[in-house]
Amino acid sequence: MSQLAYALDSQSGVQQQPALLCHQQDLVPFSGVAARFGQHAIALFYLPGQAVELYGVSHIDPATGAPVIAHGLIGESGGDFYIAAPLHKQQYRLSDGQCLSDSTLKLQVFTVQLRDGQVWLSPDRMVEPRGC
Amino acid sequence: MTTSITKQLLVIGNGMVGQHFIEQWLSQQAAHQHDDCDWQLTVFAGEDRPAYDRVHLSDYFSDGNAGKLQLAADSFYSDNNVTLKLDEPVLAIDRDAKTVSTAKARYFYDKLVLATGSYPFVPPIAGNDNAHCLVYRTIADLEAISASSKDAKVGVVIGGGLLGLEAANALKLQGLEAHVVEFAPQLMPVQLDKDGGELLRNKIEQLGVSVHTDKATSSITEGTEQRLQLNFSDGSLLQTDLIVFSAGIRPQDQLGKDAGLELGARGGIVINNQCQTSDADIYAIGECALYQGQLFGLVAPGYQMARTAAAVLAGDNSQSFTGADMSTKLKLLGVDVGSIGDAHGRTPGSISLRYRNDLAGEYRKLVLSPDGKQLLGAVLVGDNSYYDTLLQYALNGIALPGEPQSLILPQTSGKPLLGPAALPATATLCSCHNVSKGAICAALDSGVQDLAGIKSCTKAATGCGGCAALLKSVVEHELTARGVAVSTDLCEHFSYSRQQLYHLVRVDGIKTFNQLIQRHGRGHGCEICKPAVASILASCWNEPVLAKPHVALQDTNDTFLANMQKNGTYSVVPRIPGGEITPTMLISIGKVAEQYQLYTKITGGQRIDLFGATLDQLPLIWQQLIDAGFETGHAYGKSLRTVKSCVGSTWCRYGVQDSVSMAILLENRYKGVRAPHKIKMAVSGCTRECAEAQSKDVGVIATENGWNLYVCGNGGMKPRHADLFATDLTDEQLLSYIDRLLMFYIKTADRLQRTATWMNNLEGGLEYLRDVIINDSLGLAAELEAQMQLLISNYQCEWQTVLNDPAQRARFNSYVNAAAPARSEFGFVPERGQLIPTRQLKIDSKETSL
Repeated sequence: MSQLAYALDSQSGVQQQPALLCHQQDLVPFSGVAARFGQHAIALFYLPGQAVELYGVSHIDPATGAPVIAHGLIGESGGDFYIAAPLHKQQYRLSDGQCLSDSTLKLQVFTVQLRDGQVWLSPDRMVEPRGC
Repeated sequence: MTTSITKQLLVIGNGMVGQHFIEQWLSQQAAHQHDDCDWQLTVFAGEDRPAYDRVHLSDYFSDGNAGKLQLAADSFYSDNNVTLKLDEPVLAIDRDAKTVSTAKARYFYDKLVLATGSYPFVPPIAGNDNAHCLVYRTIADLEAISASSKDAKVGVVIGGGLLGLEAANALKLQGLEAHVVEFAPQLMPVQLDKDGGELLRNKIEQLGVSVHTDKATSSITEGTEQRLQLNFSDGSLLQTDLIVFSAGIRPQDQLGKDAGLELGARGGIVINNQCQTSDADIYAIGECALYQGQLFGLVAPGYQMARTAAAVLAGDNSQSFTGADMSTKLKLLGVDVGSIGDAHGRTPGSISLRYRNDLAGEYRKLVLSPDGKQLLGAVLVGDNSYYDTLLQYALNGIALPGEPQSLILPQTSGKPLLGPAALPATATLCSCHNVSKGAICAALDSGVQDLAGIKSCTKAATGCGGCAALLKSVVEHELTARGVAVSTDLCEHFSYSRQQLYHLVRVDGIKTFNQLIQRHGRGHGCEICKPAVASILASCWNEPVLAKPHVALQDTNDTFLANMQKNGTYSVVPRIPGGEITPTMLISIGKVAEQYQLYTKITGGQRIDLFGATLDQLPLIWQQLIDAGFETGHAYGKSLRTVKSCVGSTWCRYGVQDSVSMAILLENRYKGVRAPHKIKMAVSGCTRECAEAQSKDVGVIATENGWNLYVCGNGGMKPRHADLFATDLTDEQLLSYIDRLLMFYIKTADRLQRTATWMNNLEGGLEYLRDVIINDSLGLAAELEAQMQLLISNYQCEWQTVLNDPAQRARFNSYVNAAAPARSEFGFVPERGQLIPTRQLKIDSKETSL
C-alpha cells in the first residue's frame, strides 16, 4: 500500500493561497522535472519562448500508477504540446491532460505559473474533478 | 482563326506496326493541337480484315477464333476519324504527283508511311508451287493450312527458326505428325548456340515433333505414301501431305523499289533515324524498313519506329530510332526459349558461363564482357524465369554480382531476381511500348492504383507480354513503397528518412537538434525525432548524450543512464567486458546490491543486472561501482550491449583461439557507440560455438587460421541466424571489417532497425554488403574506419561524466522541492530472498482537488 503515498486521495480542506513550488533554475528547458505539493506529485514542463512556457500535470502515470510522467519526452503535433509517457508512450496533451490515444486516460492538470524566476501553483483556477 | 487546310496522311499497311502507328499518331494529335492544319489519315490494308496479332497467330488453331486476334474494335477507325480501306492494296506510288494508286482509285498524299511488312521467303526449290506448299504469316495462310490439313496425316515445316517452330506447333495442333527440316546443323541458329539448339531439339522431339537438321531440300515431288516427297541433297527422303515454308522473311519493299526509293543491297527500304526514306515525305516503319543495314523482324523495334515516325510527323523531332534490342523470349511448342544480346559471344574477348542439365532439359549461358563485370548476352532453353533479370542486367549495364553464375544456377530458395528497386528510372520495362520504370512511377504518382490500371494507361505488358512478371514486381514494389511507407519521412517534423538526416548532419556539420530542425525541419520535434536525432548526433560527433543541448532529446533511459522498470524505479548494469570478472569486482557488485537491496539477476549477455534503484540512488550506486573499477554498461542505449564469449583456448581443450581476449577487445573498442538500434556481439573460441555468435549482429567464430565473421543475426521476436561474411581473418582484418560494417549500418539504417532487417532491405543483400565492406566498392572504407576511430577516441564513461558535474547530478533528484522519496514508497515485496515490485500497481486515476 505504500505507493499510495502518491495516490490522489483528497486532502482535508482546499488550498486558498498560491504556493511556491520551486525556482526557475530547477526547471530543465524543453524537458520535465517533478515537484511535490502535499501528497501531490506534479510534473513541470518548461518550454521557454513558447506561448505557454510552463505546464503542470500529474506526475503519476494513469496507466500504471508509477511516478514517471516528468521523465517522458515532450512532443509537438500541429502546434499542440504533449508528453509521451515513458513506460508505454501514451501521449497526453499538456494543456488539458487528455490522453490522445486512449479516451479513458487523463492526467490531472495543475495551474502553474512562472513569475520572477519562481514557479507558483495557483489555487484560483484549480481544475475541478470531472466525475469519471 | 485562319482557315485550316486539310492535309493527307496515307499509311500503306495495317499490320501490327501500321496499327501501332495509327495509335501513336492519334495520341500525338491529341497532345499537339495544330490550328493551322488538320490531317486526314487514310490507311490501306491488303488483307480483308483490320490489324490482328501475328505474334499469337497459332492461337487461331487452339481456339479457332480469328476475331480474338484483332487488335482494335471495328469502330476504332470511324470513332477516330481514320479511313480504313480494307482489301485495297496499293499498287504504285507516284512521287512526282504525290499520289498512290489502288485498283479502285488514286489518292493524293502530303505525307506517306510505308508499313508494308514482310513476306515469307520461299526457297527456289523445284516443286515449291504445289497446292500443298504453304506459308505461315497471315490468317488467310492459316485457313489454307487448315484446309490442306483436312485429309492429311503428315506435315513438314521447312525452316527451324523461331517462326518455323511456331508453324510446327500449328501443324501439331491440327493433329498432324509434324516434322521440322532445317538447313543449318541446329535449330534456331540465329538466337541459340550449339548446346542450346541441341537441348531444344531434344525437348521438341520428346514432344513428338521430328527434327531433321543439316538437310538441304533439292526438290519436291509427288509422294507415294503421302501426297508429297521431299528429296534432300544427301539422298534421303521424307514424305508428307503438306509443306509450310518458314525459311525466313523478306522485306515487302516492292512499292518503294518501283518508286525509286533507296533500298539496301539485300532489300529493305533505307530509313534514317527519323524513319524517313530517301524521299523526305515518305516514311517507312517495321519489317520493310532497313536501318543502318539491319532489318528488324520483331514487333518491339517496329513499334519503336512507329512511335518515332508519328512523333516526327507531328513535328516533334526529338524522337529518334537508333536501332533496337533484338532480345527475345518465347514459348515454342511449350518449351521456353530466350535469347539476349550477344548470344553467340561474338564480342572479342567475351567470357561465357554455361549451365546444362540434360535431365531437366535446361540450358543457360551467360556471355560476359572480357572483365566479367557486364552481361553482354544470354541463351536460355527450358526455363525463361531467368530472362527478365538477365535482360535488365544486359540492357541497363547493371554491374553483375560477384558470382554471376548465381544468375543461372538453379536456386533452392527462389530465383536471384534483380530487385525492382535496383532498376534505374530509365530502365525500359516494356520494350514493345517503350515504357520505362520512371513512366510506371509517374503513372502511380498520378493516382493509378493497380496493375490493371497501369497496363491500360501505359500499355506496358500489352505487346508481347514478356515483361508481365517484371512489371508486376515493379508495380507491387512501388505500390508498397507508396502505401505501407507512404513516405520515408521520419515524422511530421522532418521530411527526411533517418539516412538522409544522418547525411545532412554530417555534411552540414550540424551539432544540435535546434540547428537541424531550424534548417531542415519544422515545428518543435517529438518523441520520434528527438531520440533519433540525438542518436545521429552521437553517432557523428560522440558528444556526451547529457550535454546541455542534447539532454532534452533523450529517451528516459538515456536521460538517466539506466533502464526504467514498470514501477518507475531503475535497473543498473555495469559493463563486464566479455563476461570476464575478478572475484573482487564480483564482490563489489554484490556489496552494492546488498547495500541498496537491489534485486540481482544474471543477464543473457553475461553480466549482472541490479533492479529497483530509485532515481536519487542512481548516482550513489554508480559512485561506488566506478570506485570499484566499473564503467557504465550502456544497457539503456541504442548502442553496443555486450560481447558474449566462451572461455576459449585459454582453458577449453577444444578452443583454437583466445575468444575471451577478442571479446574484451571488441567490447572495449565499440562500447558507447550509438547506433540506430542496439548491437549485440559474441566470440566463440571454436566451431562448437558455445558463445552463440551466430545469433548476434556481429558474430566471430575462431578457426585454426584466424576468425570467421558472421553478420546480421539476432535473437528476439524474429530470430535470424547470422550470415557468414568472411573467413580466416587476422585480428586486424576482423577489426577493420567490423569498423566498416558498423559505421555503414549507422550511416544507412532506418531508425530502430536491427542489422538483420537492415541487410534484408539492402538491395543486393549480403552480396552487396560484402562488396561495400570487403571490396570497398563504394570507396567508403577509409572514411568509415576514420569515422569509427573518432567515435572510439571520444569515448567516455557517461556515468563518470555525470558524477563529475553537479548540475547533471541534480537531474537525479526525484523531486526538485522535496527530499528523496523513501524506496518503500514504490512498493516492494520479498520473493525468494529479494525485493520485487508489488504486483498490482495500477490505481484509480480519479482527479482530486488540492
